[in-house]
Amino acid sequence: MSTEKKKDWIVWLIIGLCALSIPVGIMGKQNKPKTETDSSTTDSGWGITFKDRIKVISLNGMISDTDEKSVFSLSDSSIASTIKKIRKAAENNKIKAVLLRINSPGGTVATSQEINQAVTALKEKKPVFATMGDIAASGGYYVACATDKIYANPGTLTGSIGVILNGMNFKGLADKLGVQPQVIKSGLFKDIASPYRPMTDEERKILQGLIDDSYDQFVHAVADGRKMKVEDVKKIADGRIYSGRQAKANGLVDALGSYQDALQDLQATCKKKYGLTEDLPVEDKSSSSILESLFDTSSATSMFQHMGGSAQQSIEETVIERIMPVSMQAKYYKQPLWLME
Amino acid sequence: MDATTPLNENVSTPSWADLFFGIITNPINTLKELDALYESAPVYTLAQQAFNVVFLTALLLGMARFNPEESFLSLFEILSVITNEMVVWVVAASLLSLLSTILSNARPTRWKKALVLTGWSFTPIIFFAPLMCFKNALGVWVFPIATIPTWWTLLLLFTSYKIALDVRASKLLVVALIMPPLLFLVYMFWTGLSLMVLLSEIISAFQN
Repeated sequence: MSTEKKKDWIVWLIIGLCALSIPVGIMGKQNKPKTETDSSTTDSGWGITFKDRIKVISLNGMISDTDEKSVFSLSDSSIASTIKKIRKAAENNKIKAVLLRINSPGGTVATSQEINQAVTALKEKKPVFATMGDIAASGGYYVACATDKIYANPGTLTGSIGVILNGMNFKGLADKLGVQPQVIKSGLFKDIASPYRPMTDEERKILQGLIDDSYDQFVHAVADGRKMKVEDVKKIADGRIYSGRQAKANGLVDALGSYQDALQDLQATCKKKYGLTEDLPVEDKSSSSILESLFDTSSATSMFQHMGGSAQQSIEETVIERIMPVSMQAKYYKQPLWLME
Repeated sequence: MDATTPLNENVSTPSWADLFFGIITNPINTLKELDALYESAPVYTLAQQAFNVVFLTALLLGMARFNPEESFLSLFEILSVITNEMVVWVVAASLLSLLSTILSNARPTRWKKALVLTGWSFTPIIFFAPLMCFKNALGVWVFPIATIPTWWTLLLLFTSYKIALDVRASKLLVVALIMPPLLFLVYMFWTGLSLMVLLSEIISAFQN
């Protein structure tokens, strides 16, 4: 065989072997037995869009109607986006069930109710389970109680069923500093809860009525969601927080377990409901990639803060962050006026 | 192809198989021959040969990713891999052509010539196909092994740049270290970001 022919022969042999490896690889993929791990593997790729699946929706942080998504934020985990995701999940026939991952200390009444309503509507169409992270208290629990089944870790902080309106009276301080508030108002109660004067009895009565009414709505939502009597809910809804284990004992959660336990249970429910033999793929976009972390402005802000930057962080916030447990911090700053927490 | 002898003195353009063999066994001389051939051989034939290499390697790479359970998506993926590799090829050639004009003492390199030289540098990508097909059997070893064709390709690209521009390796290395992060930033900011936003909108529309 001439050198030229030998070269040709070698080249086509290399290409042939490379090409031949493709059907071998495809056959390997076909014959590969599906393991439990494979079927429950989460997928955040766009290929999953066209498949029947379980969707994981995360509810993180304070629940309030603010959209903090930035231009550079690739993953949108804002509350506004969470509500949209829940509504979209209800409309999307490919999403067969939803796992709600809650990690929230609570938030405003109206937004908590809005999410509760969206979850209730979703539950009527497909199974919805909740799994609690570190904390799912107050508004976080308001959302969870609308689901079909609640999973909590034994150490999860939950409960805190109640409504609070926080305020401070700075009159003494203002007097010392010689600061005189000037208020022009259209009605007697327009400056209700003003921090520059003590609260009147009538104002207190109005605000207490507001809080009581919101509390009543909360209690009824829990009673409806958990299929409990209102009286029974009221017995445990004095605003205290419970550990996951305590919450299981008093009926606020259904089972103790992790995210994975909740997912497995949801898979089993789907198999039963839809007559499936295999687990559904799971769409979980809650974890961010390195790229997202790089371009996420919240990460950038956090990075600046750790580097000593203090453009947006007050001394008060810094002190609170350093001396208080993380689960308690949200109670003391960045909170809206009227809260479920 | 021999390290000391030219490709084939009697034929103006060497065969595709001859060049393929040369780029695997003796890349520097083969790239030098291609550089020299550009002046005498038909440009169209040389470009066509380079295109064939890029297309074949991309096709095999795309097919290696084929998943029989998602045949429609896999076909789409094959197309996307081919398109992606073609874009990278054109970008690499354009970059070479651009560098020839902005680098001092660099030899002017026309875009078509850059296409020929950079196209052949993609040859080692062909080895990704068997790697991907046997990744389960290879286990964790697939990652270090997969770096071999990657580095091989990068080295060939570097060599093709060096030969075309006729500049010192150290000078090119400095450019190679500065240009990618610079281009990456520009690429990420304008193309990557807008593409991701567009994709997420499309996905969102499908999900609805």
